[in-house]
Amino acid sequence: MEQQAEVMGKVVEILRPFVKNADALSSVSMETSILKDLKVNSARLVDIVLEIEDAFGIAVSDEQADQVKTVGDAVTLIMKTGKA
Amino acid sequence: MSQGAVGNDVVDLDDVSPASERTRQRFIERVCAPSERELLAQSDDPRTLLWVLFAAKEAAFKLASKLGPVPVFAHRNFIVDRAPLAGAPFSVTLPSAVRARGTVDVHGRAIHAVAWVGEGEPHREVIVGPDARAALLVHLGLEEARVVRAPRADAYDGLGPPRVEVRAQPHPVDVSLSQDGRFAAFALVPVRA
Repeated sequence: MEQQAEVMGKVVEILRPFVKNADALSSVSMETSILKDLKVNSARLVDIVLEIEDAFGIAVSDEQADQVKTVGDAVTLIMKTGKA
Repeated sequence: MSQGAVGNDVVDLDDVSPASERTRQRFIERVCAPSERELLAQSDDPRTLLWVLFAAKEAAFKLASKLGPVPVFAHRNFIVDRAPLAGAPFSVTLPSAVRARGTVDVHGRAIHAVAWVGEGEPHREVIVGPDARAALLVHLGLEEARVVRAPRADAYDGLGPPRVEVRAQPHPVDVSLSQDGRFAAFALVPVRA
């Protein structure tokens, strides 16, 4: 299982093209809200879920996607669901 | 006593994520119910229709969040019954099985969808600019009016839907605000005090 920091690094890189303000990622943490702090809109959030599925080889259900509010939520989901 | 409620969403067609185009088919499967995928397959302009459907679902979600607990936001569970072409009414079935009325306006590169329950039809506007709240207050033209959001534990940002207060008293309208790209939008319906 990948370490949390490594997963978080990959998640940040997945988020990067969808975040209009690159500076917002410079201080990202597990508590960073994807919608509120990174100002990612809901359409881009669907894209992010698809990218996470591809990058980590996992399937994310609607209910799981609905629970992803923060960067930490995405990392936790990946670590619970993902493969090494 | 009939109480209206409204949700709205604006989409800037020039601010659509390019990734949505690249992963288009999977995006469609994630967002659209089978009946809606059929509408897309039959459409002369499926790219625009996809964003029209998306805006309609977002509007419906905002409405549904006012009618009960915030539902799981799985777009394909908010089902639009027909291709919501500009100016033509449609219905959207919420996960609670409530059927809401809907309308879509296309203003150049802005798609504005509104979903509502109750009598009449909402007033709705799209502006070029970031501040839907300010546009709403200009429209209302009320002294000492402000838009507030009360704390709400099940909301994604911890805040409930916007409400209008005049001199700290609830104003009898239900409102919805939206912002995307270059555009901001609002919709409102009167509610009986």
